[in-house]
Amino acid sequence: MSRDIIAIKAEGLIKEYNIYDSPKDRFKEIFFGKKRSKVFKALGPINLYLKKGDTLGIVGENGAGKSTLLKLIAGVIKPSKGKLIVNGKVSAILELGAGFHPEFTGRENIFLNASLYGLSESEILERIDDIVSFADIGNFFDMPVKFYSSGMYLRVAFSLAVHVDADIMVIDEALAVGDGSFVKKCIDKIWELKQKGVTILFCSHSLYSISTLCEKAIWIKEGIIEAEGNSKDVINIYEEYLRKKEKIKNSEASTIVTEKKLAIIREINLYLSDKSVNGTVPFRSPLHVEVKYEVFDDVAVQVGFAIDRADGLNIFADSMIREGLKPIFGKGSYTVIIEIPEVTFYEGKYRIVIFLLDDTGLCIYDQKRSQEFQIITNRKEWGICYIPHRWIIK
Amino acid sequence: MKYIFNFITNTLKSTLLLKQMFLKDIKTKYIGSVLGPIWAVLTPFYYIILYTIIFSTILKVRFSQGNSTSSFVVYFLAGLIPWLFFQEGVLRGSNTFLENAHIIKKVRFPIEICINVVILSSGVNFILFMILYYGYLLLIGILKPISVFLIIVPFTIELMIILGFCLAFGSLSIFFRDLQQLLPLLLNALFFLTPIVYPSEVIPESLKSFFKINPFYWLIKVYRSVIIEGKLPISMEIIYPFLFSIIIFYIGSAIFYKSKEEFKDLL
Repeated sequence: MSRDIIAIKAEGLIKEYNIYDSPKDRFKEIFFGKKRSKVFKALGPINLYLKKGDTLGIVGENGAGKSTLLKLIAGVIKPSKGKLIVNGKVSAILELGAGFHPEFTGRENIFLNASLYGLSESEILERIDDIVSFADIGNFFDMPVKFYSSGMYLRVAFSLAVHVDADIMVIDEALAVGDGSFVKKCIDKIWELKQKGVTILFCSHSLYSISTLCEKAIWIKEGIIEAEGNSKDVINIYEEYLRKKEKIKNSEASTIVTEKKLAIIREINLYLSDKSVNGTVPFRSPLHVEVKYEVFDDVAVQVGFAIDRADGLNIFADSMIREGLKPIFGKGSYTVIIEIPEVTFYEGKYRIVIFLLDDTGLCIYDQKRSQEFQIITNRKEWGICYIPHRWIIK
Repeated sequence: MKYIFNFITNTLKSTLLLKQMFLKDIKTKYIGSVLGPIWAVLTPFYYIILYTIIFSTILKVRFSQGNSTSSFVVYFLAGLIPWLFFQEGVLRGSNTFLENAHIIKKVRFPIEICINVVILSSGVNFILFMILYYGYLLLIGILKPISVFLIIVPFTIELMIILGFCLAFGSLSIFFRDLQQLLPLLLNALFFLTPIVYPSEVIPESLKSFFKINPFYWLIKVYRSVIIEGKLPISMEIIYPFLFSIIIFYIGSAIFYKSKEEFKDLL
């Protein structure tokens, strides 16, 4: 394929580190030639192909090699073996404010870091206003960054990273510390960059944001790609694996948790037609979920809900927009009721998780779990839930 | 020559980064201190006074020309100022990659800049100091104006030597951290093996040929002849340190470019 379509191409990409028991061994190896190191393979072999404008989510457990891959793509480290082609300028947020100096002000750090990215002075001056207004931290911008909260660090670092005109953006688990409105802004910006044809690599433990933001995803396990393809499929396979390892306790593991909330859920009440649920729900009975929430800012909010089994298995999830409804706009207190005409899951413990989402469904303002309830049934079928069906015998 | 060429082009390409990193270096150095950049002048003054008292007043060291303390100071400074430039540059340069490890590991940028920042900041100290020194020479009426231009020659030679050492030790000290401990000792020995605080005439004849291996033996001679006599010697005195500087610059940059990717993994 032609050069201008390829963004990233990796063939048999391997990153290894030599591990020595002591510095003496390294010394001896260099001067006496005898091999004394053990080779630790951090990543690979990896084969990866990304076109311009692709968005790739990367999932995997800690130490699987995600960051190593991103560092290789960012050009911070060199591959040990294999081929890696990266076409275009890379802007990477590998660690929050990595190049930042604590004694410098935000503005000075922008100049320092923008020049690390290779921008010229006039290019920085051209952009500085945009960077300041995107970061939106007021007077703090001219104060030493050592006084910043981690959220402010993120604002400045992210603001710079999206303004350097990169062709490829690498984001390593950075959005987790932003507050509600900023995470929303970042996600909108990432979306905008994506439309412009910027290739995005996004590594996160927030499986939800990966599945909504990225088209493709890979799951890296112990240095190699365990699964790849459509992001939703990969996330499903990965979640299944995590569940087996009993790592996902509930859906909370897969969301961006925001610091300062723009909207919060006050109450979740469960009703069986008119009387409230007290621990048990009979099979095939109607269930009403009443959600009371409050919005503090002029933002569009839609409600989403998920039904999870106690072991974390997601049975069903939906939101207002997916059903064709408009989000509710503006400050105030609201009550929304979700009516489930028939509860058809089999024996077990369940709970409802309510989400307050922005209009794109990408950003979660708040989420809350309902009480757990037990479903009692003496049905004999197998499976998770009852599927209405008919038998036709010919 | 490929390595030297690489180094020079990478330096020229990132002048803004150099400026920003240099400002950072200065600010970090003096942050929180009351006297701030005044320290840059105070520290060398301390050395001048200390060495003058010890060597001129107590040990009564005298250079061939003149017999007074002021002529000792003139001679001695012509050697000490270049030496401090070398010492500061190499000591800081050999540590610069370790110092900037947090950036090197996270951001992709030409890391040659780390060395250049060190060179620039010790170079600025050298120039500041030279200005004061020339002022002093002017005051006692023995300034040779031509030497202000001629000094560029030994300065350039020394600059290449420092660059070479910084690149070599900066890279090697990541593999062998012991170098960090060893280097100040080696520099201290080299200081006393170079005729800076004593005239070269006092070196015993039997050891002379050993002392002459040291390029600083020659380089300091060149500095003195440029500053005090206003003459640039075109002879062995300048050819030897010049060749040495090119070789060491080449070796240093070769070590740096060959081990660059390796040592990033070790930072």
